[in-house]
Amino acid sequence: MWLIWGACVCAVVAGGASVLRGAAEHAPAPVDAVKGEVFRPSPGSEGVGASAMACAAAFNGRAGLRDEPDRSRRHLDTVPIPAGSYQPFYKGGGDTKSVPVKAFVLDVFPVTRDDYVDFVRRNPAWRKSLVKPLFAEDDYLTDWPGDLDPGIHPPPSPVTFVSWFAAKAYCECQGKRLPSMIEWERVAGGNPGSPANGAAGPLSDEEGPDLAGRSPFRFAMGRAAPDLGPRLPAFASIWEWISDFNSVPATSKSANDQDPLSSLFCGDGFRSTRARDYGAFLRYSFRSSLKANYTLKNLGFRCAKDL
Amino acid sequence: MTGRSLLAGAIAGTIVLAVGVSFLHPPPMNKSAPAALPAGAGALSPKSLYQLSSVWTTDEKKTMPLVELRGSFQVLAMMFTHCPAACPMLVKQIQAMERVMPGNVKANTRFVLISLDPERDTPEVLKDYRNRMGLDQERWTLLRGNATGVRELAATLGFNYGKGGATDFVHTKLVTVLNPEGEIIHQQPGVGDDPHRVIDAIEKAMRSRARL
Repeated sequence: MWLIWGACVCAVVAGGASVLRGAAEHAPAPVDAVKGEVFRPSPGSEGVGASAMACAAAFNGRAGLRDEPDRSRRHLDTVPIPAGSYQPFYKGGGDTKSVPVKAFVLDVFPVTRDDYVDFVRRNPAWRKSLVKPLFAEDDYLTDWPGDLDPGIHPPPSPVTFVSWFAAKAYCECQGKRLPSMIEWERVAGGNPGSPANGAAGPLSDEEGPDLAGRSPFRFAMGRAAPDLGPRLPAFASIWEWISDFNSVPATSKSANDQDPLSSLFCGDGFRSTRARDYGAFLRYSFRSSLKANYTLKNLGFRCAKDL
Repeated sequence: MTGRSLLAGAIAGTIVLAVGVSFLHPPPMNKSAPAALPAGAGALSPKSLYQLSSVWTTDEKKTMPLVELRGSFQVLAMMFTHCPAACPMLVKQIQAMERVMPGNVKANTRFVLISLDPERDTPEVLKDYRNRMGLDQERWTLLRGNATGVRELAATLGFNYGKGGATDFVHTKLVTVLNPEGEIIHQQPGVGDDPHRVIDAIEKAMRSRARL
């Protein structure tokens, strides 16, 4: 009698356990599951199609989720940049000539936190809690209280604490790209012809506190060139990522390095063409200290697009 | 009911219960557990370079993503075939290092050269380079990508390069060592006269993997 009763209890328990296990196996996967998925942040290679186009469709012509027209459509504000030229700051390979810069299209404003919330909502692999260390170091979005919560900041607030990979992915998701070094410098590097770091376009004080000159390095962080036309891009107290931030080899900083400078490079040594352009010097030094997964409090980005 | 059959029932019940409970335990999460994995198995480490999605072409015209390098230590350098001095020197130094590698290190190590100059360094040009430099077919991989992939890989490695005049590149001399999972375990500016720093780094990594 007891044996039969005990066996029934055990059968019920075992049956219940296997039902629970079955339920666990068939539970719907979380909507944003990215376990085991290899995120593809570089749709520039073959087979770019799917992810870039899916992202682009999400952004184009769509009002922001918070339904505040000025901010939500900010990422759509672009300005055409006419063709121009730029004299590279460093003379590499003995070349000091100006390089031509083709006309292109540039965002008026750096990418804002609100823009970026949209991006991570649609692309969970770029959320703070899910991003892989290869693509963004620990401080990624560190001032965001949550994955989808950028905190309270007076608008327009440029998104910072983002890595080069993240910036690149954001732009690619819109069918855009990061501006190159010569493009950015042509637009915002001041007037290379003048002996000092010639002030060109106005500081955009009217855009709000975050775009006013609060950093002591504000003068180096971007000022619109005078030949850009009636509409100018606006610059903030942030440095900005570019597509080829790693295109100027830094000299070795090690006192123990025995190599003479010239043997570090294929080509001539490195000399500045505009030694008194302190702003340019700051920007180039800053860029040479960056790694692709770095994130910084005062480093954001904007996107560009071919015409 | 006797005590004996009650005991038998209890034991049987406990066994069944234990089996049932074992089914409730969730399967272990295979988060990146680098060393114990055999090559090619399981998810990539979140630090692995092989998470890059770029696709490359070898000098044999085979296309491959970087993850195909998984499974061996990889000594990796970026160069271009028209490089007059620094790159050939670097390649020669890596070859010299290969020759002095102890057998167990050599067995687990391969070499990768990646061109900065995909316009001129076509697979045919790379193949010619391989023959000129005497790079073993089995152990050396020569890769050509597109401009975006090259820029991204260089940025990931911390390797700087740019145009230096019409036909030249200026670039740093960086040698990177990846473990079989594609994580960067060592970097140094060139091999120089001392190949042993790289060899030591690989040996150290091999020892710590063996301990796990």
